[in-house]
Amino acid sequence: MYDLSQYSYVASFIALALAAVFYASYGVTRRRAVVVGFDADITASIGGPRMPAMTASLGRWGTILIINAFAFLTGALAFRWIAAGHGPFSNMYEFSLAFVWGTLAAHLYFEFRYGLRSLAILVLPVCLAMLAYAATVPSEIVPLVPALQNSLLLSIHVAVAIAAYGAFVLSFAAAVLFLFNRQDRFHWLPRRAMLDEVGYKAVMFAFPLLALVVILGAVWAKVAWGTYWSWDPKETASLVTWLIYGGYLHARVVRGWKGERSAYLLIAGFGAVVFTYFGNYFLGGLHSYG
Amino acid sequence: MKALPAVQTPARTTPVSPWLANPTGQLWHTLTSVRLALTLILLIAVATLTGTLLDQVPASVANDSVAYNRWLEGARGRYGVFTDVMARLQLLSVFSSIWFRGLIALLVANIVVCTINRWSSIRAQVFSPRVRMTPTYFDRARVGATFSVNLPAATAAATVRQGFRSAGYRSLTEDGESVAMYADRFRFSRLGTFLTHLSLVLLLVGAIMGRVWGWSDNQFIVAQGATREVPLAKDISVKLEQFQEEWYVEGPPKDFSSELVIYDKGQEVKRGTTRVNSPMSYKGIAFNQAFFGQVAVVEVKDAAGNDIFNEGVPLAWTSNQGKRPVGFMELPGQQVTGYIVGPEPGSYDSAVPLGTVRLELYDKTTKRLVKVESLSRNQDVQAEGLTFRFLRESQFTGLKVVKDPGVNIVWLASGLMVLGLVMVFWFPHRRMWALCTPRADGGADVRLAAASQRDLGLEKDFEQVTAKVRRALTRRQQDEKRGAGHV
Ligand code: HEM
Repeated sequence: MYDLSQYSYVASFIALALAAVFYASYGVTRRRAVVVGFDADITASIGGPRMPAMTASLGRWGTILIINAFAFLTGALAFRWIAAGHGPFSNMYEFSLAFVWGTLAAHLYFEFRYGLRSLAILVLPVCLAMLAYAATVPSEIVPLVPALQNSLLLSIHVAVAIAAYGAFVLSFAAAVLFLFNRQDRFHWLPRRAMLDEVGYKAVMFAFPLLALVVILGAVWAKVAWGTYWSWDPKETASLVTWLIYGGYLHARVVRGWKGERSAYLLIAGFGAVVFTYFGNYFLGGLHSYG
Repeated sequence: MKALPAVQTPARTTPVSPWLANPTGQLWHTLTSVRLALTLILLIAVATLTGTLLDQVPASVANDSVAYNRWLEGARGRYGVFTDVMARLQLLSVFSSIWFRGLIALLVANIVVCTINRWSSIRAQVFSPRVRMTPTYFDRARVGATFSVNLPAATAAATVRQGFRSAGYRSLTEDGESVAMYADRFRFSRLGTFLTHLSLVLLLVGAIMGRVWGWSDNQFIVAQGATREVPLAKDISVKLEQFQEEWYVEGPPKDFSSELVIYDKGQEVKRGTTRVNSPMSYKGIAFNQAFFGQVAVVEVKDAAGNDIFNEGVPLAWTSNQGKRPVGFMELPGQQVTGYIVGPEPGSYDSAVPLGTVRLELYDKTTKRLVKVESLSRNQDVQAEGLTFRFLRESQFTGLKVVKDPGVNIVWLASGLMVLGLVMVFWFPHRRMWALCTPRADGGADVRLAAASQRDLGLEKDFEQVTAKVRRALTRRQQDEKRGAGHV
């Protein structure tokens, strides 16, 4: 089972790397198509931009590869779950796989629901970096120390965090493209209004989950250590993340903060996610899993 | 007192600051602003981040000036000449600093004022929405649709209602020359914003209650077989029946547990096991398994042969020089106090060989070390006119004893917060209006529009609803035609 899990991990890594190649070629050919043949006058007369067949098929293959990578990753986590006898939520290797799983799930949702492929330009590199990172940390299954044995609470805590983080990667990608696509000048990218929308939608989904993550962390701290809040660096870092996204939600209704500044807050929020995630390396505290 | 209206003096050209003209009104106005909320939230985020990045004074050190100064010397190694400035600015104790508390207090005031300020308009939206919208509203709506049907306005309106209902919307109707309708879904979502904001206030109330009426003892140590009073709740005492540890074959710890008996005013009231992840509690006091260690059971007799000490000494501290566990024993009526030092764990310790402990005696007045002896198991050693005997080794349990009367409020607030957020974001309030205007030919124009919202989910929902309404209207029209044909 452990070996199966490792093979699935490698397979999903390969599928995702290939997907990145396909998406990149999709982006390049689409861009050329838009720049060369489909400027506004012509498209107006033929009723909207149509994609050349090759571009469309590159995109389709990219999607199929992402679905494959997602399926392999599901396998990797499931096999590991069976092998370890507890949820794959107890060390950095497992977190990283789960993180990518959550991100791909969020990406597939937005791709199918809104027909947005271009977000992959940023989503795939984040996922690949995470999978590469997973290769550098120990992947052995080790027994759980007492504080981590509360497996129901632990599993829910981490599973909810993964769902939230996956959506935050999407909102990060949308914010970066939003800032890049000033005045909608890149026709091969989604319109700004759409990117703004995707960023917000992702936060709408994830913000309640992030609150739940922090609260479950507090419940767990109460049970394991006696106090629900002790300003432990990891707890505190996830509070910072939550506050930044809370700021973003208010920024969207404050004059002068809509649009660009809100997008910067989304990027800062994702920075906080990454900081919290890798916090173990430079912040001490009770949350150290090695 | 109310501020008087400023006297009209036409000569005056510089406008009076609203803060001077009407300070309370202006304060209120400022506290209703979402911009202030945004500023405060971001400032608190920055402050919290600072508190994570900079070393913070540990709670155990904060109230002990000697320990605090020692800690500060350690911090100097990291922050150099800035250390004192940083300490002065409370950057090394962010979460208990005056400025951090000030920010939180402002945030709470902001939330409360905002809530009061918005209450009546939200209540109107939820409980008594406006049903009739003017034709201009439909002209200008960003999201809208128009159908022309060959049905009387009243029939058309009834059919539109059906369409709304089948899409999961409730609707209200106002008859007149033209029939106006309002339809919505998840209207209580609006109250989610209040739940979320007020839960933050409640959370703070719970946290403050914990601070004011709660306490915690992080170093409550009981040796196996011994009974100890909880220092902060004198009526309660705890006996450790047995301590157990389990280890994985691979090395890491698997489980620690303590079998405890709890006494209230000397009466046994509870008996059970406390382990990591499953604390025992009695009368709101929680006993958490925190740490454990060695105990040396030592007997001390005076020259006359009277027992003056016969207990387990928990070796719960570590020596300054090495990593040896150290315990303290109070010798009543003697000129000296004793320390027991155990061997350094996990390594060969030449100063304290395995199976022995070292006895150090200090003079009570001069605090000077007066004698060092090695104690082997069951052998008498004479020192300072006393006879010491190391009887056996045993274990102690280290419990964290916590009383927090605010904790249930904190959980309640947390639950309300999540509930509020789910209501707001996963079940957003959707509002639509319809207007059925009769035409001269006996048919009617049906216009639909949705209240604009910040997310495009609205457009999708609107499309779905209009599709349902359209289907209902089409079917109805066909039915009417068929009916007319039969007559
Ligand atoms: C850490 C503190 C706060 C948190 C976590 C928080 C959370 C939220 C959330 C989740 C929403 C819903 C967003 C939406 O409907 O799109 C919201 C909306 C809102 N908040 Fe806060 N809030 C906080 C502080 C404040 C403060 C201090 C004020 C006072 C001005 C405030 C005023 C508002 C207003 C007016 C809205 C409604 C915005 C709108 O939909 O028009 N919030 N807040």
